[in-house]
Amino acid sequence: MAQIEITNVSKNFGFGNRAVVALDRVNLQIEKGSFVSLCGPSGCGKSTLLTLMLGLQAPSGGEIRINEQPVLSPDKSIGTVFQDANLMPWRTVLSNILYPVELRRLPKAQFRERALELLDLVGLRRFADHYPAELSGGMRQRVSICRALILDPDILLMDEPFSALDALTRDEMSLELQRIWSLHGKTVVFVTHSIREAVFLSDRVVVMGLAPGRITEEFDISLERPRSAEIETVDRFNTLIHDIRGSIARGRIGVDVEMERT
Amino acid sequence: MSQRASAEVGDLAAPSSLWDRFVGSWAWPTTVFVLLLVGWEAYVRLSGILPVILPAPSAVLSYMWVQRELLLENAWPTVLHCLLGFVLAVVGGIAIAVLITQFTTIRRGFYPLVVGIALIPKISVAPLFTLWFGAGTVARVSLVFFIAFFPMVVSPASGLMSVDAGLLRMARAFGASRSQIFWSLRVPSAMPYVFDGMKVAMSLAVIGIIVAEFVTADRGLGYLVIFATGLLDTTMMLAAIILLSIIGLGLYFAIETAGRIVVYWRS
Repeated sequence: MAQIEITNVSKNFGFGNRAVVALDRVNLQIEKGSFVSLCGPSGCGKSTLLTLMLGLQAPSGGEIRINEQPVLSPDKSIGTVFQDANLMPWRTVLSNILYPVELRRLPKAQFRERALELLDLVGLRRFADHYPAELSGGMRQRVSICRALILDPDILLMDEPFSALDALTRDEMSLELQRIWSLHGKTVVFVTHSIREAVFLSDRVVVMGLAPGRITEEFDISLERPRSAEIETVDRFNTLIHDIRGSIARGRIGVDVEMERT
Repeated sequence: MSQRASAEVGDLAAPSSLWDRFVGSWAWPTTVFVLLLVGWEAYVRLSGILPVILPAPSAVLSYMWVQRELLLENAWPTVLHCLLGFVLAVVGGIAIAVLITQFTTIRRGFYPLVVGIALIPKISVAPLFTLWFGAGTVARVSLVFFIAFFPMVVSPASGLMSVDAGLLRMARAFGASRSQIFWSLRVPSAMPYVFDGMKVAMSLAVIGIIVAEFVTADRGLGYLVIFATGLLDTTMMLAAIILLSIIGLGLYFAIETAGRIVVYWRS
C-alpha cells in the first residue's frame, strides 16, 4: 500500500447554485520516499488538495489515508513548508524551528541539538540566535524547511515554497532541496507553478486541470540523480517540460469548453 | 552591502554640512524653544504687560523653584490618581478586549455598546461621578478610568484580531490548538497595538485627572490651577500647568520606552 492514498476525493465549497467543485474525484497514490510534484494552472485545486492532506479541512467525498490511517487532523508525521516562510518576527531562528516541538508539548531541550543540526544542513547555524528580519528571503525559507523537518516527519508537504524568491535563489533552493531529500529520504509532495522546477526535482509530476479541479495526466520523470544544472542540456529533460506544458494547456482549455456548454 | 548603499543614498539626500547636521539633531528644536522663551521674556519686559495677565518665564521658573515643596506636594496625588485610573483602564480594557475577541456571543452583545459609550464626551460625566462617588479619590480615579478605558479596549481588540493569515495557517498545519494560537500568536501580535492604545490612554488619563480635580479636589495640580485662578495668581497657574506638562511628557515617554523594549522586533 502506498504511503499516501487519495481515493475518489472531492471537495465542494458553498451550497446550491453557488457551489463550486474545487476537486472532483481525485485519485492519487504516493509511494514512501518518492518526490511528487503537483502542477497546474491557478484554481486547479492543488492547494486545496494539500489542505485536505494536512487535515485542516475534510473532503466532501472520498478518503485520504496516510500510513494507512485516515487523515482527521494535522499530524506530526507531516511537515509543511508554505509559500511564505511564515516565521514569527518576535522569535529567533532557533525558537521558530522549535515551534512545532512546543505545540506538540515535547521536551524542547531534546530537540535543540537536532534544530542546530538542521541549521547546519542548510548552512545557517551561525544565524540560530538571529531574528527573521535580519535574514534574506532565501535564508528565511531555509529556516522554514528546518522547522518542517524538526519533528522528523515522514512526509514533507511544500506549497509553492520557492515562488516568493528571485530566480537565482530559486535555482539554488532547488539544488538544496534535492540534497536534503536525498539525505533524509522523506516523501515530498511539492506544489509548484514552475514546470522546470517540478521536472528537475520530481520522480513524478502530476498535472491538474481546471473546472472542476482534477488530475489530468501523470508523468514519470526517469532522469538520473543527483541532478545538476547541467540537466538543462539533456534532451529528455526538455522534452518532458514541453510535454507537461502541453498537458497543462489542454487541462486549461477544459474551462473554455465548460463555459461554452453553460 | 545594503548598509553602504543606504549610506550613499543618505549622502545624496543630505549633503552633511554643519548646518544640516545641526537642523537634523536635538540641538535645533532646543534652540527654537530657548528663542521662544527669550522672545516671551523680552516681550513681557519691554511691553510692560501686567504680570497678572502674563508673567515673565523667569518669574514662573523662579516661582517653581521657590515653591517647589508646594508644587510637589500637589503633584503627588495627581500622579498617583492618574496612574491608578490608568492601570485599572489598562487591565480592564485588555480583559474586555480578550472577551470580545474570543467569544462571539459577547462580541455581538457588547461591542456595539462599547463603541456607543466610547462616543460619549467623557468629560461631561465628571459632575455625575461626583454625585455618585462623592468628592473623594474614588470619583477622580473613576473619571480617569472611564476616559482612558475605551482606547484600551479598541486597540488591543484589533491587535488580537490582526494576526497574519499566513502565520495562522502555519500554526494550524503544525497542530496548534485554539489556546496555543492565542498565547503564541495572538498575544505577541497584539503587543504593538496594546502599546499604541496605552499611549492614547495615558494622554487621556492626564486630561481626566485634571478635569476631575477641577470639579472636586482639595489637593492636586488641577486643583492648584483652579485655586490660582481664584487668587488671580497667574504665575502659580503657569507653574502648575508647566509641571503638569512635564509629568504628562514623562509618563508618555515611559510608555514609549517600555513599548520599545517589549515590542523589540518592531524597529
